[in-house]
Amino acid sequence: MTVATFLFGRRGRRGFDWTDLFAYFYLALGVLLILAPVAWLLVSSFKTQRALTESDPRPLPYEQVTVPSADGARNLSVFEYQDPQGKSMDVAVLVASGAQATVFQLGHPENAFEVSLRDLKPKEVVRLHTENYTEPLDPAQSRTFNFPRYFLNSTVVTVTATLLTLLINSMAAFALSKYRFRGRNFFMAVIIVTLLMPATVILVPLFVVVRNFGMLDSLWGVIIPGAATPTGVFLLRQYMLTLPDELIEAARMDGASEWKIYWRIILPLSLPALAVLAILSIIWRWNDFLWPLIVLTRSEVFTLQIGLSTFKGELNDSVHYLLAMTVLTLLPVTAVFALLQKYITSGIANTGMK
Amino acid sequence: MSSIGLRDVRKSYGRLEVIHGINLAINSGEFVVFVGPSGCGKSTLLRMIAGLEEISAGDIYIDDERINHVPAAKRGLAMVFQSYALYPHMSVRQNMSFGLENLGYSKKETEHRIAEAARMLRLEDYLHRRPGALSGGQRQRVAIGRAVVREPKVFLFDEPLSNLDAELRVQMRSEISALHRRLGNTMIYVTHDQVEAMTLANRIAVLRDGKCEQFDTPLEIYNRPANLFVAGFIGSPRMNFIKSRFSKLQPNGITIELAGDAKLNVLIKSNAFVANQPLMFGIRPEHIRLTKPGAGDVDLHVEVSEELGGECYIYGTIPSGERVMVRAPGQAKAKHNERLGLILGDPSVRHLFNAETGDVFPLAV
Repeated sequence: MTVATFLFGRRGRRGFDWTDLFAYFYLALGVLLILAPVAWLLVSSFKTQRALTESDPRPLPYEQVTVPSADGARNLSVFEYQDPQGKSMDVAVLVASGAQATVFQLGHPENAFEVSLRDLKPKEVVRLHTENYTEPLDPAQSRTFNFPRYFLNSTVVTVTATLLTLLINSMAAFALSKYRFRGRNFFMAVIIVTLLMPATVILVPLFVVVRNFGMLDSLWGVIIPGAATPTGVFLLRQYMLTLPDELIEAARMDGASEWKIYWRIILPLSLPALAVLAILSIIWRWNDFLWPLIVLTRSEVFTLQIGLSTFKGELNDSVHYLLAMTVLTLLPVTAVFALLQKYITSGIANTGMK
Repeated sequence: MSSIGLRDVRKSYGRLEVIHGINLAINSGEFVVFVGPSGCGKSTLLRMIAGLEEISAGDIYIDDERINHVPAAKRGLAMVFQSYALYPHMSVRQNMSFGLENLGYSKKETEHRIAEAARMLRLEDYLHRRPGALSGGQRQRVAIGRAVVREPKVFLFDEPLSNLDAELRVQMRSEISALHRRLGNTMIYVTHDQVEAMTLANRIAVLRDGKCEQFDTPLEIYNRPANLFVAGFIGSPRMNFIKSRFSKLQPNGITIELAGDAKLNVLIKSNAFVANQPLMFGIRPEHIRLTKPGAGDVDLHVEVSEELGGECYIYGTIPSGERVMVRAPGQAKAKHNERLGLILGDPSVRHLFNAETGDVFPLAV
């Protein structure tokens, strides 16, 4: 099936059914709802700080043209001036006071004259304000925001935690799906019940535990508490239930140890479910904000999400940097999703039916 | 090569007992088939020997060593499953090497054994393939190959041919038979197909409802079934049963009376009968001979005649209303609604059972 036939698939062979229209409308709405904020973020990340603070409603990133002043000390804003004869020219503003401004025509800095602010229209061009990206990434210009360090921390947390999650959850799921023991269903129920517990409820006790283990201000304090997830155990267990017991029995007859059965038979066969869990875990961990915010207080151990929050301070509000860095933060998870999404669909399809 | 002993082996799930004390002594190098209808416990029994099911009571011995609590991985047996249970993510080669790897064999030895097994089972061209890319027969051979490379003490087969089509089944059957001749290992084979049982086995264990009804060579089971169940289960088409009564004692047997006055002599050892004791007379369809109406032991009213070419199956009723089936060689032996006379076999192939217990009265010949 090509992309085109997929995109333009219809219910009937001939013409449009009303359900087709309905489906297209519904899907378009969904795409809009999901994509619009991301698109806004992307476009806004290229706007100037001024355009953002003024909430410029135009979608494209406009920027006022400037020229350097004669002494080169500052940049002068350029306006379009319509003189009383109706001739228009580009002028640079030297000084503005009240309703009047002192300007000169571009190219003629010696002939300054006074005009009314009402006759001036800002001269704007569409320009990607890439400084939003380059400035925070340049250590010389940004002392507080250490992108490489935060990126590294986030990566360490995400990768380690995901590997740990996959290992712990799959071992639990293996036992709960393939071993018959007293209390198996009870333990499964207990694990499911923890899903009902809001994370905020256990925040304080968890904090105390992590502190007593001396893991505050360390990445382990972020990684370990969330390593075992009920969702993951449930997801993997349901998948492993569909793996035939005879495979395990065959492996036992082949003299395999229980660990080997888990490692060589169960894990490879659970790959679709593991991929789903891996993607979920990566997204959870990469985007996690609340718990790292509580555990991490030194900027050396900040993750990206915590680092981003430093742009929104009490005294400074660098929304333009925040948006640009948010875009960068989104890229890795998007890439992971794009690479692994086929496993999500196939994995969920296989999880549903035997 | 190993012998296997089962002493009063029982299996129960909670209160439900499914295996009621089975005793078997399987000799080294013997090919034993467990046969019986679905739910008779034959697969359970095999899995208990394999170590995949726990033993509720009794003992299992391999070479006189009690192995009740030895885990499956340590029993040194190999099993071929009904579903083949090939590891779908491994190539044929890896499927076969997995067991050897677990047993700690060297790379060289592993390669050697796989090459050997692949040659024997004609799998050389498929070694790199995954099971998903193989046909049913090829998968079956891989499953057997996986067992063969291990050179196990005992091979266990759990209905290995039931997923194959008829033609392939016959072919694989003879391959398994050839394998046993070549390797000489002890093999236990579970099936519900009596043809497989008859053709493969050195000895057959006929199971019903968790009990062993008879354990003997195929021909002995065919010729001297121990009871009504075995007599009816082994042999295709199945044995005819006709209600009868004890009539009088003879020097080397007894005379019985069928419903409708027909009198027959049966050669049996026993002579402890009471007058008119109800009996069950059994005769295999292939032992009945056809004759003119009135000239035989009993007349048959033909209902259906199935022509198979080399022989025909004649179904009908005798005067008592009981249904009888005759397997007659040749063609066109009977027509619908025709009356035929039946000679109910020579005395030596007549079977007589206790109508109440179902047990056979042993033949005197």
